[in-house]
Amino acid sequence: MNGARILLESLKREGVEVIFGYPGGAVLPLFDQLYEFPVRFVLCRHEQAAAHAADGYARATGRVGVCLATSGPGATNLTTGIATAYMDSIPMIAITGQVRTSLIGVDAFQEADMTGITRSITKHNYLVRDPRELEPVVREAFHVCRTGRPGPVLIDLPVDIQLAEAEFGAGADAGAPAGGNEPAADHGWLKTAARLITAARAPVIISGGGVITAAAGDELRALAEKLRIPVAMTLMGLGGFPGSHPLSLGMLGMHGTYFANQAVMAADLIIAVGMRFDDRVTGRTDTFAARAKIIHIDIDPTSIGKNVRADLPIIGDAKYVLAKLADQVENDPFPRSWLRTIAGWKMDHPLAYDRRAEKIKPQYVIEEIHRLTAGDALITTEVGQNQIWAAQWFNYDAPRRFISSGGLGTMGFGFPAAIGAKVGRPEKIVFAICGDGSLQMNIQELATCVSHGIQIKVAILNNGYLGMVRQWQELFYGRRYSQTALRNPDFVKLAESYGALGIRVTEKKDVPDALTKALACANTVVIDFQVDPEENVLPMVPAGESLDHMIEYGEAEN
Amino acid sequence: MQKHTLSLLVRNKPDVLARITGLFSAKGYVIASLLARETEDPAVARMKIIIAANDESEVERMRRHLRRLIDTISVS
Repeated sequence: MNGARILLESLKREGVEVIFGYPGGAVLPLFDQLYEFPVRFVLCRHEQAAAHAADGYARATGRVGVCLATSGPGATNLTTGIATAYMDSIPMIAITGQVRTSLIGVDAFQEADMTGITRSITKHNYLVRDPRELEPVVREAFHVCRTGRPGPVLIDLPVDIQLAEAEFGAGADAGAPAGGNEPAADHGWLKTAARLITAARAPVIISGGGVITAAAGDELRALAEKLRIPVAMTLMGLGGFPGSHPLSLGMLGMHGTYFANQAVMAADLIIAVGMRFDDRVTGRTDTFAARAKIIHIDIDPTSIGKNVRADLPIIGDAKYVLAKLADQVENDPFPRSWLRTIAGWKMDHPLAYDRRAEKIKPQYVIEEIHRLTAGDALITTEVGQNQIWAAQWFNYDAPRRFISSGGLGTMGFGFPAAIGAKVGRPEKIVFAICGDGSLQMNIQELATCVSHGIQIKVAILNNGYLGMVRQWQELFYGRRYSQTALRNPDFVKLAESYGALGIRVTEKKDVPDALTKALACANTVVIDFQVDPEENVLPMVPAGESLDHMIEYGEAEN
Repeated sequence: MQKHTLSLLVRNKPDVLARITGLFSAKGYVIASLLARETEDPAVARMKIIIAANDESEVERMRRHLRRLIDTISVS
């Protein structure tokens, strides 16, 4: 069979059920094979959206997401999507066509050095120069992308290799990749960790995306409940611990809750698991958790000691480590005073907004989505204010329900990611929470939704601004709104022109009905919520400040 | 700043050198000296890289990054 067919058979063997992508000259042989091949193909309208869709699919299901583009501009259009997946450690395979091998390097038509371009944003990449290499490359690529700390892998496939004949099933067994990804199994850490935990009087767990990747939610919960340790979550970790659990502190960091940030700053022991102490989480690193001993559990050795010192580094799989810890520690409850202090903070400094205001508040929209879906919906977000409100005002009680570009912070991610999420989890209600700016970066995917009957609900928190940037301009640049006011189209007419349902909401009292109508509609729905234009995301730890220096709702602006 | 030597065994593939030097340039290191050659095993290459660094912990961090690469066999 030809290389194109070998590729598809190899993908099928890896369990791939859907590919997101867009055709082109350098992938004609592949698309010819796809014409009759039993894999679902979702034709997007921009390759960037195909990458984000594959990413959203992977985040929603835990499976590997696959996207496919042609050479040159098709491939370079995947770049932002690949970088997004790289920063958030998402298992994704990006397949790009390439000019024929004899033309590589001569600046041929639609040629781009994709292995060069994506070298720093892929876990690994391959340029296949021989059809006999293809089968072992695919096998290795999948192994690399899904083991250890997951990440995107690119396979660049020249068009003549797609056409060349080779045997399938005769490919040499790919040896395990040389870069060791297996977690350490040494147990000296267990006694030390147990000792530190027993000695602590004010412990906090910080749980990140790695807990979700490792499917370690049950083990985390067992440990937290056994000792009654409060749990704060990073943006990437939301849902790893149930948001409505009494021990949950919600999100910490730049826009985290007051009580999560205070708890971390006052703690004498921090158990950090599957998180990497990103600057959005730590605030000023030299004052971060100064009183605490830090146990840092991560599968990637390069994350440990990178931003924050670890008193006890534990390199290993989160599920395995947390299970061992929960077994090892004794049932020795901490002084009640710690939990009482935290309860006091929760009571005196809850998340808040002006509920009596006449204008539609974006926080209210999120709360209504939670209420009307019983907190069971799968939420994707764009980036900016919409993202943080969606993180703060919706309790995520299970993993893989909150899908957001945390590391790269890519506008234009959320809407196509919702497409991928819905394809992967068709039984769930999927909402894409968007800003008016973000949605327009991949608005063309309305065509993808309607063509494939992907019935997601798009909630635009429309404030007519590039909201988060406007907020910073308000707080730190004297309200000089430079290039942040957006003149928008009529989103309802736009949705209708694509064949979707459009709803506009201008009054607070109409919010619940609009959502109910959207949920009952068997179509893609775009709801344009015209929200308070200058609402700010609070609390906020300004950049470079310590986590306990928050601007809270109700305070005078700086 | 002192000179530190890293010795690597890597898979002998076309883009291994590019990926490794890219790692150093991304972290802001200048490579003072680089030696790369094949070994008796055509699948394996040996590299010796000398960089200037402030302390051993920085160098250890670079070793961890190098070990994380798929084409790396060993780093010392």
